[in-house]
Amino acid sequence: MRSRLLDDEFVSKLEQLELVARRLTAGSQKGERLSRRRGRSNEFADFRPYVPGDDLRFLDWNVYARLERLFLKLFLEEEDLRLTILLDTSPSMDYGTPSKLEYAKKVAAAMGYIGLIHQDRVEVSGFARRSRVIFGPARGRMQARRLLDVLGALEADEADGTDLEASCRAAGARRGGGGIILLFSDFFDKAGFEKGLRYLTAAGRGTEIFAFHVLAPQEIDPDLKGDLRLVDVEDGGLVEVSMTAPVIETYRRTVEAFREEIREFCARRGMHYVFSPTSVPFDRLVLEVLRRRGLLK
Amino acid sequence: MTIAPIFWLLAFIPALVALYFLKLRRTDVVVSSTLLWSRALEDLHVNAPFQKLRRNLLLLLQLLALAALVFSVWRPRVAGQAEAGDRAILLVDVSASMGAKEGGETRFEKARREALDIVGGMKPGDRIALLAFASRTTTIEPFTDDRALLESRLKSLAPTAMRSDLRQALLVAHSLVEAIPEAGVYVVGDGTYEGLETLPSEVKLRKLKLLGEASALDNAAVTEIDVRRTFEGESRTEVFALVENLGKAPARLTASLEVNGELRDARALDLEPDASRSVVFDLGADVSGSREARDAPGGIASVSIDAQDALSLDDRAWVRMDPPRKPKVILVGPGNPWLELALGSSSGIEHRLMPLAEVEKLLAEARPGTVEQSFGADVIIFDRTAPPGPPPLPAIYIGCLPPLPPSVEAPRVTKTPPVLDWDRSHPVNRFIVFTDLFVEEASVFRAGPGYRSLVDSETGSLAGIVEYRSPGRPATPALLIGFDILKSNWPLGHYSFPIFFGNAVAWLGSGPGGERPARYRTGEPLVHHPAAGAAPARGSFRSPSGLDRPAEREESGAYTTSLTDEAGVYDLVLDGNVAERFPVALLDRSESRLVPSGKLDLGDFAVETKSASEEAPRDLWKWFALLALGVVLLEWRVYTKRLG
Repeated sequence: MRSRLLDDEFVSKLEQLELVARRLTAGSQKGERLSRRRGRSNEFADFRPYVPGDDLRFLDWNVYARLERLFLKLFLEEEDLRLTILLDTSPSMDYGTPSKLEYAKKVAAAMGYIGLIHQDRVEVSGFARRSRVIFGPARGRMQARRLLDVLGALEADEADGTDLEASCRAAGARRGGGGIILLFSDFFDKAGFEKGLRYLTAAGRGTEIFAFHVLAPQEIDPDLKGDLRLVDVEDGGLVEVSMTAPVIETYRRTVEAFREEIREFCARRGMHYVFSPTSVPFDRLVLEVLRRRGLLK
Repeated sequence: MTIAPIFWLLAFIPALVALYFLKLRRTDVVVSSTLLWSRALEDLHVNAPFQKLRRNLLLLLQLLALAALVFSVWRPRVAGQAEAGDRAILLVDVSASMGAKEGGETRFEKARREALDIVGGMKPGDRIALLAFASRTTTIEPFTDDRALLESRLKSLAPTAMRSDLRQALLVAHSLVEAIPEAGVYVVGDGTYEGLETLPSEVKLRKLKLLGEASALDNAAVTEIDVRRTFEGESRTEVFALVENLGKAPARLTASLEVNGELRDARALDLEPDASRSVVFDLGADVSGSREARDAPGGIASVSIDAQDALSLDDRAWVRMDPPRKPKVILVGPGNPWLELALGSSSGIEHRLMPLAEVEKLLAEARPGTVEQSFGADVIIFDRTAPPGPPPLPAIYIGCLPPLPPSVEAPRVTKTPPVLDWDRSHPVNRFIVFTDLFVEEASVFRAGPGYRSLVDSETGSLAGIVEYRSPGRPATPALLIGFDILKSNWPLGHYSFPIFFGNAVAWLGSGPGGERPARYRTGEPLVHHPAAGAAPARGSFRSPSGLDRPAEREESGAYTTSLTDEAGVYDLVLDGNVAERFPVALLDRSESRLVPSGKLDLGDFAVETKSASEEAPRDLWKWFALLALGVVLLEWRVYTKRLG
């Protein structure tokens, strides 16, 4: 599969990967995931004594032969996984080389691809001031091509700001609980990121949320000099600053504090914070970092 | 304390800060979000309210440059001496000792640097007068605030061969700023000054500062030279010189005598520190007796020592060896054996008697202007009888009087006037004591203008000198003795009698202007009296270095110059011929002693030397201007670096 976003070699590596939801959740259709609900699948879960009314098909006759007691074999029921990808497409994401949006799109494409080929239900939404579904929900390898096309064509919005709160609230309400939410954003919302994330967690119990904090190297360690007037690309806000070593140093510390703030907020609410500077090659993020973080196996 | 007006310029600093923010052209840079920048700046502002100012290197540099400029315009100085007042006088010593070499440079060069420092430290509005002094004080530049002018004048100064007379210089300086008591007087010299104790107290109380730090130097010098003649038997000429070692180390020297540039004699001298040795070179009769020397305008002998010391100009002195003169004397009077005996006892005087009638006849026959020639004598003595007119020649009147010049009061007759005092400085009184002179009756004169008293009594002057002047001619002196020497104990009881007449005839007979000195000190005026009847001619004095300076012609016909600031032989050139030679040398022991006292001894108190390194105002404005330039360059560098 050839795509602007993912090359073949990378795609073949993705084939080996599978999304892991640590919180087993009930999907609406049977999929390749084991649901916490025990049911009919090949995955043995437990035994329990037979009580009248139980399905006799699940009695373990071998045990009965040895112990002369009736035990019912319990199986984990396999379910599909709901993978929701929320992509921040605000103008601020169109920054850096490569742009943060490009980077997020690639990671999202990889994750969506993995989901699709494992029969997970994949939905992709973009948001700036409002969230909108741009792909899915869909599943199956057959949809992978379309996913890549959609993501490849995705451009940053012309919006005049980011409204994380409204976007997350809408996405959360639409989606309900369970599954995995991958949120890609730089979290540059002057109203604050907290409310938005809170809406995501409130969307449903058992939802595993990964907050990908995408930042360009220029944002982490700015290479600016002289007396400048900084213009906010989203709302046109101005900040006059004379770039001196102390100012740059303070800015670096602020970025650090900002990351720590989000990380701590996520940790408190059981979300995963994944710091994703675009300086880390996206394939490394997917193949190494996310495996290490347990999202992929 | 008032704020120097220049400091108002510092008020520009806030303006500059304001301007800085106004003029700052910020470059627009689009960023993904200003969220974190705002937060970062907020942090900065919270942490340090003046962070923006403090951390702004460019602004700081500009402030620094402005401050440096303000300071440079203010012209700061270390140890502001010129604070002494808006007016100051710089007395720059150009005496001979300033030519002494100390460590590769002369004391003068060292002192001039300090003077330049003071001039360089002038504040706007300060006025400095520049005076140079040696034995004379010259105003080089009256009060001016033109620093460049003062500096160029200072640079044009050079040490002379003259001795220093700081006393005179301080009097001149004081007279310049008499009305400005706060004006300071800076003496820029080497500190070898004497005779300041007798300065008037208002001069002593003036703000005096002695600048210059000289160290004691070894020096040997010829401090006196003279020529002596003896008339006993064969006339002989001796050249006498005094050689002094004025240093702290023993000196081994050779004193050499040259006559008219030809080496005649040399003596080895061992001189202990602070010792002096007189050297007498006996030339026998060969110089004075030789025809050539007698005809020459003046043979010049010089004594030099081969000292390798700090000051070389005092290592040589010159003296003129005039051919001996035997003054011719005419004695007019009724006869005076004592007087004749006294005149006859001196081998240096030729005298003859002449009756008064012959004198009157000669006077009557003589054409105007040729009276002296018709007598054929140098001095005429009228003893108790005199012709009615003024003296035709330099004359001595004993017990009689010529018609007195109008400025001289007629004498009063007094009985037995006791002698009180006499003028010891006059050559006529040389070697003479008048105590116990008894006079029966005398006409006593009142000293005053036109009458110089030689011997004073209680009631008036017993003897004195008047001068008879006529235009275009040298004055004719007359020595008046107001008593009949035969009515006194002078000829009998006093050894002074023959000496007095010997002196008087020698002095009166030495020609116009008195006895010519055999040598001159630098700074002394040179006078040439042309022979009677000589036509006026353009004259110039040629200095030892070959400079021709026009000779001034006095009313009496004498040629003079006072520009004797070089040591050596000066020639008076009249119509292209050398009319007279003048040997000029330093001959000043205190000037040759190169040991500074380190203070001005004013008698009542002393003014310490101010070492230039401590006190001389160091002009710092150049450094501040340089700092400003450096800062501006640095700012440019920082600015371009930021842009890049």
